[in-house]
Amino acid sequence: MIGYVGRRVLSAIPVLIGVTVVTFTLTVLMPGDPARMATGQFATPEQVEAVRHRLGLDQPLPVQYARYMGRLLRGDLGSSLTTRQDVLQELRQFFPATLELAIVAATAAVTIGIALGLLTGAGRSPWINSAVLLLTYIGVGLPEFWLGLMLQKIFGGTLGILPLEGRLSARFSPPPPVTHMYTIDSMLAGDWAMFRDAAWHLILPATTLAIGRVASIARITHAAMVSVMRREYIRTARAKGLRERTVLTVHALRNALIPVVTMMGMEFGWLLSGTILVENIFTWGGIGTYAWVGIFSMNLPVVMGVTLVITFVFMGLNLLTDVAYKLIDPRILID
Amino acid sequence: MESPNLTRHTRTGSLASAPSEAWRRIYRSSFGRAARNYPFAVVGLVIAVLFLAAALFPGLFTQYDPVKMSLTDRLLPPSAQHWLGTDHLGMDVYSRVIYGARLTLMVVVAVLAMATGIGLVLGAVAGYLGGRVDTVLMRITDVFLAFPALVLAIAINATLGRGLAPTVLAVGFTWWPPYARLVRAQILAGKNEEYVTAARAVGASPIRILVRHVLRNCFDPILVKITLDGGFVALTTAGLSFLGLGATPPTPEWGRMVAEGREFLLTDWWIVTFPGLAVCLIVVSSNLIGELVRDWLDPSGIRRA
Repeated sequence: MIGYVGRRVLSAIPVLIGVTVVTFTLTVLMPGDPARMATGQFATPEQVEAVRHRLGLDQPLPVQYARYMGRLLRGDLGSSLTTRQDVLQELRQFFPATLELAIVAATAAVTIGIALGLLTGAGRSPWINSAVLLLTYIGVGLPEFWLGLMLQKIFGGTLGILPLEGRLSARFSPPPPVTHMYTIDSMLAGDWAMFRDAAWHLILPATTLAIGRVASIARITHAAMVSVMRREYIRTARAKGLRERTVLTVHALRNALIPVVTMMGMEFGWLLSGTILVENIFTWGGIGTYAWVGIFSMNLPVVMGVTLVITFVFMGLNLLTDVAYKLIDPRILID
Repeated sequence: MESPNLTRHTRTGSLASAPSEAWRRIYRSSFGRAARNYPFAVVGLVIAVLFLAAALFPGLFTQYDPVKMSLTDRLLPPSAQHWLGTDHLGMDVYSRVIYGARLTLMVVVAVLAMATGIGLVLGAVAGYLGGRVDTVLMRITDVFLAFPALVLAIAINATLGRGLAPTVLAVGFTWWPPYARLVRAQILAGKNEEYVTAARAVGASPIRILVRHVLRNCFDPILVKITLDGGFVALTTAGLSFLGLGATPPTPEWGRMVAEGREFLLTDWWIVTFPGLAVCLIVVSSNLIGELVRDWLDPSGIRRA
């Protein structure tokens, strides 16, 4: 297993390098002349050239790429064009909010999705099956930005039972920062009113993020369950006299989960990208909001920084799902 | 297949009129069988037909100019004059949704053409040549697949600037890798067939073999994938426009309209609701049709996920 993980990590390195090549290419393709932008309108050509030389922009592209990689490895993602702060520092500030939201949404999506898929796949009532499947078609098609707005309108506006935006009501100031996640920190501080408020604020954004994934995961699980339940080993298990519950959990589920786990990586990818849209709508104050503001103001260092970080996390998640895949099905040997 | 029906005698043994005979033929065809397996897909087809009609002939659906602003008619709720209300600039929401269909269609077609084009070329080269070329090309595909979809599209779009052309390029560059993989898989499977060996024995050049014999295997899966992807491309484009990267105002693009209507959400909800609903319908429709096409082209269901 360790060998497998090691090999998997090694094979991920060229891909990671390729990712940096892509982001580097994008920074090169950016319109405008960085040297001129750095020196301002009134600089003389000599001054512009001097700055160009200092920034290393007159070097051949491979050299520039090497310098770029060097900066990345040192954790230098550039500075935001608007705040002049280090992009990496700003990302670290905003990261916990997104982590909190993503964890809640992902947990909900995986558990509810798999449960739904299991229930419909086990094939009790064809009516419920059809209804749920129809709902999954709709769920997959819901645009997240639109769904968020609709939920905001219905639950926040018309019904007024859930908060419209933000992570905490205005009357609270954030809890003492331990993890920077308000739910955990308020629990640690023993402030249950604040915990309830933070959790309440999580509901709408997490639901918006999760619904599409629930639909998708439910569909995959359902298809997997249907194909598994037809197999002969299920018939054998039943013939052995095992309880249906054992048949389902021990034999069917484990095999059905294989394609589900394979697809889980992609689902996480959609979830991660979705945070950019959802945090925007609910003014969440995480990386998604940071990215949105950067996109809106064409703050390209920020956009590239967010791209790299999210991609990095995504690659990590894919690695985890590959390992999980191996745990579930030891027969598979990838490359 | 039945022989040419010169005497118009049908299986029921009577002379039937042409239209109902046509419907009967459709019903009995492989397409009809697929449709009967997926009755909901017919809903998808209806939506798709309406969408295409609106995109190609918007004048049939509305006589309002989608970009005509009218400051006296701002923020009107849905009514007899304005079926879906007006937005903050007085533009009729219904017309904007209708004309938005045309925009969406153009973007989807452009993106899928680009994705299929790049994917076909790279996949074919990788699959047919094999060896180091294959490894290198597949690595490149892996790199593009390492990015979460929307994130890469945002990065490319932000780099290239605002507007629909950058958006098409951005989404196109994000969407090609699965097509390359698909084409490559089909070619790897088809490369070793006997008819290829026969063609090579007769002296056909590699390109001729590739084009005439091997690539034909790709059509079906690509068609299924295109149908399924159409909706998601529309969804991604709407998302990019919502973020401000796509169409610029006052162009009637659905994602853009949702963004513009956002500040009026709590009071004038129709500006946001209907364009988003349109996007949703397109995605659902494309999913349903995709399942239908998949079943039509491969009834054995061997390749079902």
